[in-house]
Amino acid sequence: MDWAALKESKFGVGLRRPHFDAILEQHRGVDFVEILPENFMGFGGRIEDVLKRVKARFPIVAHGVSLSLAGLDPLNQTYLNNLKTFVETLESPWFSDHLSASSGHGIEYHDLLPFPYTHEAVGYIGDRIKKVQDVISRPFLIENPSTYVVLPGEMPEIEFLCTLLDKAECGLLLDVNNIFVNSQNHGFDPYAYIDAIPAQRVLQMHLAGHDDQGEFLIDTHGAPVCAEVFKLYAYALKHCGPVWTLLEWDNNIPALDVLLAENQKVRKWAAEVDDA
Amino acid sequence: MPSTYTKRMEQMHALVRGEMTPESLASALNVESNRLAAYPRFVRNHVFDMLEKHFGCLHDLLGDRVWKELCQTYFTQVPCQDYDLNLAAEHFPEFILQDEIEQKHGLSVFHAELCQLEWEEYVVFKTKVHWPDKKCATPVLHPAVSIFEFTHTAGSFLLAWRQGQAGQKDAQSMMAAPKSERVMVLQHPRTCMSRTYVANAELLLAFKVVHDGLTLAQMCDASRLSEKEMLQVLFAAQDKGLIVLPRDWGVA
Repeated sequence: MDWAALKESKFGVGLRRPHFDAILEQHRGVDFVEILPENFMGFGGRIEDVLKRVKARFPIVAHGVSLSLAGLDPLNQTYLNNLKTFVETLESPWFSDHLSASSGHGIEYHDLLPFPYTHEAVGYIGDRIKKVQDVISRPFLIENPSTYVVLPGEMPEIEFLCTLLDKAECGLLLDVNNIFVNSQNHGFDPYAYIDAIPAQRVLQMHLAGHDDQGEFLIDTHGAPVCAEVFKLYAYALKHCGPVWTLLEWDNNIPALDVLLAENQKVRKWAAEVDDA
Repeated sequence: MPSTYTKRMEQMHALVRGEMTPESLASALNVESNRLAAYPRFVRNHVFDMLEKHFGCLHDLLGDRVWKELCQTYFTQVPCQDYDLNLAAEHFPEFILQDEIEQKHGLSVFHAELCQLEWEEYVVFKTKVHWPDKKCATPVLHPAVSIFEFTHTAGSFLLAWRQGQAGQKDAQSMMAAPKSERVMVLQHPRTCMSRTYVANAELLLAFKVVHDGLTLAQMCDASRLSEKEMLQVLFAAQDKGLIVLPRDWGVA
């Protein structure tokens, strides 16, 4: 895979229901939108109608939550096949999902669970990623997860991630807020984490707000991006080069003008990196 | 997979399904229980939020205590097996029909019909409607109308509740003196949103004459309405999204 050929600087926001109509009218600074296939795939009616209109205006990138790469159940073939058709229709430049478990015993959690960072898990998850890539037949990125506990394992998160990227030959969606949240929750240096990332594999980044629970941070996507995460983002951009940056805001969703102002802030941080 | 990985993931599964407490697992994993507790809370809340989203009227009618008990039992008994989180709520209408649930929480046919109707609105919202031809030469009936014959006035109640004009007392009166009604749910062709109507005589007439493929003259004959009156009925039904008329209909 020629990852370098896919590298490009773009800025986008998630397509969320409260902004369905407004984003087609008001979108200064938005180069692309990201969607969760689970919220659009198989829908008719207004959802399908909005998606068609948004696709006519913006490039769309699909970011899933249901592959359950670290889960014990076999990969869901129905979901995968639907996904393949869907991302092709969208002309999504790549597809991404999380490095986590989101189902077990046929039950969907609709949340992302951690798993032990072991050598065996590298092999297991790496094989599953290859199967996904075979079906989807376009670049596949894994997203580094946010976690509140570290299950007993054999290596730190960053070592697991880099080993897996090597084994699975996939790309990386680097969630900068997740690095920050995990560094606070588990006590590691987020800058050293970024230094270890294979820069050429990073095609997209996520930025989001989190919630301080006092004893630990929760990745809520429900607040503005904090200054520490922006600093880390600038550092990650210097390390990785141009990427698509997505501002995530999925809870306490603000008015579109607030979201767009936050997106402008992201652009400003990135421009400062370019100028330096 | 090695047994340690499988064991850990099985433990996490048991945790989020409420089969294991955060405290008991925390010591086995050597992690803090309050952090571990976040995961089952999130998983449970996703389902609870979805039930609230789809059955807001029923919740209001039943009150918080009964509602929370129902949600908790449903979460345990009916796990979601679909990646669409909305479908976590799919089996709730059947769930509340179970004898044990009905008796324990004092639920009635009225509650069951209301629940069924609230869920149908989502089903209709999500449906891919295939119109034969919106630029039609003859009147066309909406190809995917859901019609319910309710024994109670669940449709009237839901619509009034949405306007802030119905509450628990009204529901009690409706349950005490049940009246049947026909309710239609459809995806409006212009807005693509779900619309719910209690079927009145005019709506049913429009449905029938278009369904039967009558000409305007035949419609007037069958209904004993003047052409002007018949067109009023048809235009009202078109406004509601039940039918589509040819563009030149009614133009002199």
